Amino acid sequence: MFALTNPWGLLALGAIPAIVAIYFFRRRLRPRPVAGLFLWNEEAQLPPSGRTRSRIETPLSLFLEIVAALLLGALVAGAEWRRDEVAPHCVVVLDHSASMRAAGERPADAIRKRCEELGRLDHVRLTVILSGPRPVVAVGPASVARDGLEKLRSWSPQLPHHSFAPAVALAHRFADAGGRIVLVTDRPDLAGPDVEILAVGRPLPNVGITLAERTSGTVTVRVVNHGSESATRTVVVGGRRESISLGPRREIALTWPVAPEEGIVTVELEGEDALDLDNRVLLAPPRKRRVGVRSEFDARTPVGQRIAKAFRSVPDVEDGNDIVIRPGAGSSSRWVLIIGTPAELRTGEALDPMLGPYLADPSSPLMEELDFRGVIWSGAFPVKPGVQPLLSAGDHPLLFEWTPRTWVLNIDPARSNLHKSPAWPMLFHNLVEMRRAEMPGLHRWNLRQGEIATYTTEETVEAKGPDGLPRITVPFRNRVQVLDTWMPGRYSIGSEEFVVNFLDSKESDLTAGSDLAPPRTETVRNEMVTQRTSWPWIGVGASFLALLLVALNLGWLGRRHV
Amino acid sequence: MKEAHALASQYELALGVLPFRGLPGDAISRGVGSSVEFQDFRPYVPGDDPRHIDWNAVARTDQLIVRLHREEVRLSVDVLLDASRSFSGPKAERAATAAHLFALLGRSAGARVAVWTLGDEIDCRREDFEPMLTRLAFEGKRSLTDLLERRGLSLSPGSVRILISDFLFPHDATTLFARIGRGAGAVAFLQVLSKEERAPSGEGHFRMIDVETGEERPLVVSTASIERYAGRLRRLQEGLSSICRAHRGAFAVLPAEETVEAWCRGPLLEAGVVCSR
Repeated sequence: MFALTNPWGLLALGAIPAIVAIYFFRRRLRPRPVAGLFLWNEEAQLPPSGRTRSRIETPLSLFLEIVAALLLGALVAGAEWRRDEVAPHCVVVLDHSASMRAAGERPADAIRKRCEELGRLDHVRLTVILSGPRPVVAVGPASVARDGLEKLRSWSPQLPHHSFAPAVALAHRFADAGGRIVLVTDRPDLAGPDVEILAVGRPLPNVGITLAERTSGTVTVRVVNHGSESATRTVVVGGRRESISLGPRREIALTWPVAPEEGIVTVELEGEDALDLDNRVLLAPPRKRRVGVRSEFDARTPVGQRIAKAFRSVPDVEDGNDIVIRPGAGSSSRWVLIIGTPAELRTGEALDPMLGPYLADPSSPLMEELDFRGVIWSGAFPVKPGVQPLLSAGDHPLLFEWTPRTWVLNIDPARSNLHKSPAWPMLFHNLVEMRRAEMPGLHRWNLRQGEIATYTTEETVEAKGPDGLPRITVPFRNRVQVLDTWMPGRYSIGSEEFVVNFLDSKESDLTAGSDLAPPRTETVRNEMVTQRTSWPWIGVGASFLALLLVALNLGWLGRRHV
Repeated sequence: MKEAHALASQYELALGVLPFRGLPGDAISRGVGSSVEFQDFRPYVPGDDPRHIDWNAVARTDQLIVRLHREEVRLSVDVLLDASRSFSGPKAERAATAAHLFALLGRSAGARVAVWTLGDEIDCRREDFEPMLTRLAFEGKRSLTDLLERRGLSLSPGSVRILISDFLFPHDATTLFARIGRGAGAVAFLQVLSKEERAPSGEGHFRMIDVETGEERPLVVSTASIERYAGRLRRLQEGLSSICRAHRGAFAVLPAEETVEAWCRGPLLEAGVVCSR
């Protein structure tokens, strides 16, 4: 089968019309008939180019040049002759969890051995999929096994505990219909039944940090000894060292004071260990993102007191104008919650008290986890159409967005028991968190692997990972999110920094590691049709022929028509 | 052709030498013959006509002495006209007129006249050459050298041979003269050249096309290249002139843009090809 590896190379064939054009226009010279041409014999020859057209006088030369251009065009386009060939195909799901770091070279060796069982390494095709919430094709699809194994040298597992299912599902798409998958893991007990297992683990003792937290004045870590014997470690926190001793399968929580203004603090466990990834955490100082609230209700009235009480249950709130709560009256400003029905919205008399059922819009963050069961809703008015209801009873909106970021609670708070339901403080909590999320800057500074970093800004920002490479940012309204936070370490986005830590007790526990795989009942042998190319011969032949034609044209034919 | 008739009454052939040999006729040969005009004595050698033995001298000297007389021969004129493609327009017309004139001059001198046209083929007329010359198409693609190599010419022995050509083809003057002048009484090479052939003008980039062979060559024509051309043409003419002079022949360059009458008054007269009656 004829194929082109570089179809853009066919642009080189554009030389052919150029050659023909040159042939037509090569002699721009005015014809000058002379009787004794031999008397002009020693004059300088002109380059063969021109602007006036003349007939082709050396068609053989033109033909040779066109053939040479065709061959060279095919050479540039990577013309190949391919023939189908059946090769064994080894599809591997490689456990990309952090505990595989303790397995050293054994995973790569196991894959190599598996490929060698199937055939020669330059014949066997290899596809390697790294497991994870989002599986990654690390080798292939269907690379030559020798090349694929070379790529695995730089493999560095680092994910927290996860399911193999997405990777296995992806692997089945690469395998032949009905084919089986090879799973390389240190935890064969976690594998499903539809894969062949290459177990490369072994039980190992390990001490690691499984939890880390930083408040405004303290750093707290939890250290766990997953081994069956006591272990002694030195904990280093910002230059301070502390020795700890842990009994078998024991854990300890350690807290140190840290100045709030101190930058990122590193906590490290010193000592020989099977897994390095859980020996170190970074902790960034959290910043307060306070939201200022103001209530225009009289604080001495019951309603005013209920509002103040609700705000007291929300953290990091202070007096201010970020959110305004006001009685039922018109408003043109944003971030206002109107309690009571503005007169201009009413279309009739007050409705009778209602007991539900209440229908909430689950897509609105303001309605998250609000439960209105048992609420007696009194003093609601029918309102004009056109508002965006968030909570309704029948055809009557009870909580709605009147204008952007201005909500109306269609209720008479004095005659309702809403303040006694859990929905009351949650409503204010949601409102404050919505407002907080709109404030510029990072939302969190200490993340675990895989957690999404959110940054509010009106500008375009760039995020970089611990490896210094840019991370893709996903914009959403006035926020950008960094989704790829699988690598532990320091990240930067905009003008701020955040850290990602490996904190996974399951992966730190290496005692479940095993090299015992279920007995293999049959050799997994998937086959795939590959294409072997005859390119070298075609390429060399075409190149030689093209050069021969050019030489022939320049030498022999050139002498003839000069 | 009227011009030829008119000129024939004003001029006659005046080649500087007379033929050694020829058919008996009105002209006197440079060689020994059997006319009544005594020239010399010499000892008899076997093969001499015994009728020429001077018996009086034998009686006086007791040796066989023969009387030598000037031979009366009939003059032959071979007019050879190059009918190649390089002749066109006035150049061709005047070359044909000149050929006609020489034929008429030969005829008026009582000579046997043959007019040879040298195109791709060789044609010869001894009578009615005027219509032939009038209708002659100058379309020969072969150079004179090629033509003479391919086919020989059966020219009359001792004839006066007048070759009208532009001689603008690669040749060796000695070889060419030998082919034309072998056994000739006299030879004249008349080179008809247009002004452009004598002194090319117009500089620039040209596709030079040989009108006879069709060969093409892209050239830059400059003052220097024109000078080099003129130098090569001069050497070609010197070669032809030298070989003609060496054999007491005549060589003349005839400008194509001048009339045949002007040729007669000018270069032909100066070269001794014609003279006034």
